[in-house]
Amino acid sequence: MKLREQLLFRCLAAAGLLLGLFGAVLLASSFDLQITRERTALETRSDDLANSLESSAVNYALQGIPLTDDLLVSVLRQLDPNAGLYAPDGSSILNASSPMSSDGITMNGQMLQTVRPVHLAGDEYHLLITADLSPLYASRSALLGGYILIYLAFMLLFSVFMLAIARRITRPIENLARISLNISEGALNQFVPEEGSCETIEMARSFNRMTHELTNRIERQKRFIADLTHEMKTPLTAMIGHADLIRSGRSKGEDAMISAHLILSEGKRLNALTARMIELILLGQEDFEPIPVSVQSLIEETADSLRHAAEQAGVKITTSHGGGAIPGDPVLLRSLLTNLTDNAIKSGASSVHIGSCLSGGYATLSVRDDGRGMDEESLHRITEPFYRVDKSRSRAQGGAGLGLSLCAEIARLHGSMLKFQSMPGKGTVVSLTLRGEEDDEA
Amino acid sequence: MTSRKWIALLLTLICFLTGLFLPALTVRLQDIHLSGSHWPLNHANGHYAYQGTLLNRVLALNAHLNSSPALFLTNREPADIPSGIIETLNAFLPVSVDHYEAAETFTLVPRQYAAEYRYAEAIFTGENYSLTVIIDEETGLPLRIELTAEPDIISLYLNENGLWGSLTKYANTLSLGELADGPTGISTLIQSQSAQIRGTQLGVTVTAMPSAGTLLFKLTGSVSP
Repeated sequence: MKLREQLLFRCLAAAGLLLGLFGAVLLASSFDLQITRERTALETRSDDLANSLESSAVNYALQGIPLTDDLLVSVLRQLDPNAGLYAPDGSSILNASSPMSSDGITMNGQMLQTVRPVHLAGDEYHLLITADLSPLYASRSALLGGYILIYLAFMLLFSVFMLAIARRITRPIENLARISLNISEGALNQFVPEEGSCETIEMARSFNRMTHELTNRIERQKRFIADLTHEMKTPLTAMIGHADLIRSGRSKGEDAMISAHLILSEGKRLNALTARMIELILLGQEDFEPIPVSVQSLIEETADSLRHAAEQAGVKITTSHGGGAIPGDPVLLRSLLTNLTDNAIKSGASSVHIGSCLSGGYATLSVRDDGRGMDEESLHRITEPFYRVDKSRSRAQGGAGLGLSLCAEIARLHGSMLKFQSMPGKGTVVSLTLRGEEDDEA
Repeated sequence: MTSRKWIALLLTLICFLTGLFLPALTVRLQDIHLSGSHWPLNHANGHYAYQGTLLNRVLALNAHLNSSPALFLTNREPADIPSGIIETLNAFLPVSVDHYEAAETFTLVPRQYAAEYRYAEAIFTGENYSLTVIIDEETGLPLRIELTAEPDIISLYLNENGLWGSLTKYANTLSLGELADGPTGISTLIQSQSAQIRGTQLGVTVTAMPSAGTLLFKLTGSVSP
């Protein structure tokens, strides 16, 4: 059953019951109050009539006039033509039906009647007064008819109103369900309208954010796969071509050796590319417990490992550090710094400086070179997988364009991001700021 | 349509019909409950607590003064009377009333009835007058005023006001309503004038005997079978 229908049915049921209860209580209590008022009024009237009758009887007695039934009837008719009187033996003297009911007020159909004792000349007579309540009953019947009309009209209006409200409430949810279905069928670029109440607007925003992020990720993955395919296709084509030359015997002697060398070097590059790919994939699933990593060790070990390669490339590596430790994964951080330094060495620099400083609880690692530098566009794309600033040189140096993607991913895992400062022809500074702490020894 | 939807629809319909007919059902149950209901009277004998009407008390007083056996007297005892009565008497009597000499209350009880009527009687005396006033304790009205003074004082008063004027003064003091014409009886010894108070069974009477030096005002009442 739809949420809209549930809302409508439940609200209608609750409104019907509540209105019914309200109407019942109102009608019953109002009628009860009216009956009580009539009872009180009748009793007061009965009191007054008894007083008047007795006063008259006393007056006759004081004047020595004997009090006969005829005289009583005459007096009572003057006082209240509708009143009745019972003789001391219970028989009717005037306007009273036998047998006499007990003293008090009795509901008899739509009539209210009072029987009360009245003492006349030493005897106990009983006075009967009735009140016709049929106007009250008629008024209540009219009210009941009015209630039914009001109830039907209210429920009709309420149904329309609740239908509109239910539609308004459930429209965002229905939109969400429809768009989710479309997305699941492949139509990614769809967004939920941000309308309705605060909650539904927030839900739509979150959903749209999620869709946007999902779309971006899928796009990145597509681009990544396309780049990867392209990267693998080029060496594979070269390898197939040279292997075919050797197999067909068209490449012999020194040419065969060159072909074999090319197959080997392209094979190594594919191997390196595969290793980086695995690293990148693994990083996406990384979940590590950070441990304190000494900044000094990190910098010195990185410099030492690359010093030989740097000397061969005619690059001088210098280091400086402000001490302290960084909470993180030592292997990943070493990989990050090695990649950045390796890139700096390959940038045509004459010197590369690896440094750090600790300030305000944060440690900043930086790799500075005086190489070729990068333009503004390259800076924006530098961390994209397979992006190379200088494609021919990079390929010749065995690069796949994945190093900085790896670095950016490692920085993200440590809750930070790479910051690039570069000018063409002047060199590049890559820095990374992480939460740091003082060395215990320091 | 699913079974859940049918159930929900059915429940909604039941609630709708309940709301529609619940007031009618309640009213019907209320009628059944009310039918034949019996409530006791709050004060079955409450009307006996009254002190009677003014007509009762006037009739009782006059019956008592006429020694009627229809009632008896109880509780005669000394008492104070309201000071305002002196001003009232000075307003229309030919003598200057100063203070009362004696006052007592008494109660009249009609035989075979539980009612009690209370009165106060005060006697005033001066150098040239003697005055007896009976006051209704319930209303403070002077029901009977009997003045004995020197004949000249009474004659002068009657010459100035006449019987009707004297009666009107007394009736104004009682503030019971306008007077209708009444019978006048004049003889050499006793002059009397009565008048009904319009719309009531009450009347006022003045009786004067100038030669004897007496002047009597009284409130009267009568009922006819």
